[in-house]
Amino acid sequence: MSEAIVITSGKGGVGKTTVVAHVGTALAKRGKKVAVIDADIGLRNLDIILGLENRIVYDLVNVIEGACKLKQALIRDKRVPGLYLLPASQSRTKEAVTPEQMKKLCDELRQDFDYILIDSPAGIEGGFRNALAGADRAIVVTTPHVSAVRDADRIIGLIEAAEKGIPQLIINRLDMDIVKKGEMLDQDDVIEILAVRLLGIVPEDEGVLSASNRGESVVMNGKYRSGEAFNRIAGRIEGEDLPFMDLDFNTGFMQKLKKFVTK
Amino acid sequence: MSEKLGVIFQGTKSGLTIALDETQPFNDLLSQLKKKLDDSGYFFSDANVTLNLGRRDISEEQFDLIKKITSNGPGLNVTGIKTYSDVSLATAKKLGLQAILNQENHAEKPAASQSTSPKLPALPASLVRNTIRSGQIYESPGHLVILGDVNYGAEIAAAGDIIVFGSLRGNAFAGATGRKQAIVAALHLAPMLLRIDQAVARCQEKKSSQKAEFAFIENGKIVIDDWTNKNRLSIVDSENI
Repeated sequence: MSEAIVITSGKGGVGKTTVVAHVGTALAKRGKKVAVIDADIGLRNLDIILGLENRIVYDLVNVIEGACKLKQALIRDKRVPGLYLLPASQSRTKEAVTPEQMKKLCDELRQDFDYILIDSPAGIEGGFRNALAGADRAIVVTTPHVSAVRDADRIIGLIEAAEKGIPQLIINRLDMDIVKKGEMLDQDDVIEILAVRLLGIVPEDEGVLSASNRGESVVMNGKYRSGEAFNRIAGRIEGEDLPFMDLDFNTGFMQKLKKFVTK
Repeated sequence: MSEKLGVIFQGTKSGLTIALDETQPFNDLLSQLKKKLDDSGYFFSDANVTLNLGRRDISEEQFDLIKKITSNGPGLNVTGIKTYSDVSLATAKKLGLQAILNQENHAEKPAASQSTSPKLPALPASLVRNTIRSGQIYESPGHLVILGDVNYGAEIAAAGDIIVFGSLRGNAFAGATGRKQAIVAALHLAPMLLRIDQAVARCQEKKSSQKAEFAFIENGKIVIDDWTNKNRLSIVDSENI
C-alpha cells in the first residue's frame, strides 16, 4: 500500500526540507521505495540537502507540462537504494502548477512507490495548497518557538479543514539546555497548545548542518543523535511503537539520580 | 467559514431577528436561510421573527418565498420587518406586517441601558466539539459552547455567553449584539483579548491559574472571578430567563 505524506509547517526555516530528506532516507534504509517531491517551486532546496543538485535534468514542472516523462525526472540516489527525488523547478513559480495536477502526479507515483514525501513550501497560499492536494495525510514540523508553534496551529487548522485528518507533529531542534534555562518551550508546552499526536522530537544537532553541507544524511551514520531521532520517526510512520529518546544528553547519570531522588 | 454570512440570527430584546444581507443575491439568501433553519432543527420553533432587510427592496412575491421557508419547517411567524427601503416598507404595509423604517438604526439602543427588569430573550446555543485554531473564526447567533481549546489567533464571538471547556487563549467576544449580561467562562481563561458588549479587557501576561474562571461586566468593566464564586452570576444574570 502506498502512502503520500506532505511535510509542512506554516513558518519557514523550521526544517521541513531537512525532515523530508532524512526521514525519506531513513524509510529507504528500511527497505522501502521512497519518492521525495520538492514542491517549493522557485526556491528549491531539497536537492541540495540530499546532495543531488548536480544531477537535475528535468523537474516537476517539466513533468506536469508533459515536457518529459515522470521516470526521466526522478533522480535515483546512488548511495541510498530506494530513494528517489523529484526536484522543483528553479526558474518557475508556484503558479505553474495546480492542485489537480499535483494530485495526478502523486497518483502516478503511487503505482511505483511505498512512500511519497512531499516537501511543502512555507506559507498558507497556493504553494501549500498544491503540496497538500496530493497527500493522504500531513506531518507538521515546528520548532519549540512561540512564533513557529502559532503558525503550526494555523496550518493544522487548514489541514483539518481540507479533510486530510489530524496531522502528526515533529518538534525539531529542541535544545534541552535552553529549555532548562526556561527560555524555550518544552515538548509538553508545544503539545498542550497544538493538541495533536507527537510523531517525533529531533534534538538540536550541529551535525545536521555539517552533514547537509556535505550532502550526507545523518541517518546513515550512527554518530549523530538527530539521526537516531529520524530513524525512529521513520519507524513510527511505518506503524511501530517506539519510545521517545531521552534528550537530556548533558546530564550525567548521577545528576539524573539526584534529580529523581529529590523530586 | 471565511465566506460572509448572508443570513444572521440575532436575539434582541424584542425577540428573534433574522438579518438578510442586502448585498447578496436573493436566491442565495433563500438557500442559506433554509440551510440554517434545517441545521438548527427545533430551536426556533413557533417563535415570532422580525426580518431585517437592510436596504434591500423586497416584493410581495419575494416575501412569500421567505415566508414559505420560515413557516414550513420550524414554523416561524414573521411578524414584522426592519428596513431602510421604502419599497419594502410598502410591501410590509400591504401585507399587514409590523414595519419599522430604520433611519439610524440606533433608535432602540438607549432603552437597553436602563435595565430595570426587561427579561433577556432566550437564545439558542451552538456547540463546537473541536479545538479552534489560529485563523479560524466561530460566530454564534446565540450562546457558544466549545468542547476544546481556543488557541492564540482564533476568534470566537457570540450574541450570548461563551463557555469553553478547555483553554481560552484567543480572542473572545460575548454579548456581541449588545447583551451586557453575557459572560465568558473557561477552564483556563487566558484570552488575548476579551470583549463583552462594549467592554474590552486584555489578559495579564503568563497567567498561571489553573482554576476555572468566568468573566462578566461589573460597573462597566470586565471582572474575572473563580468559577467557585459563580453564585455572583445569579446577581449579574438575574434578568436572564
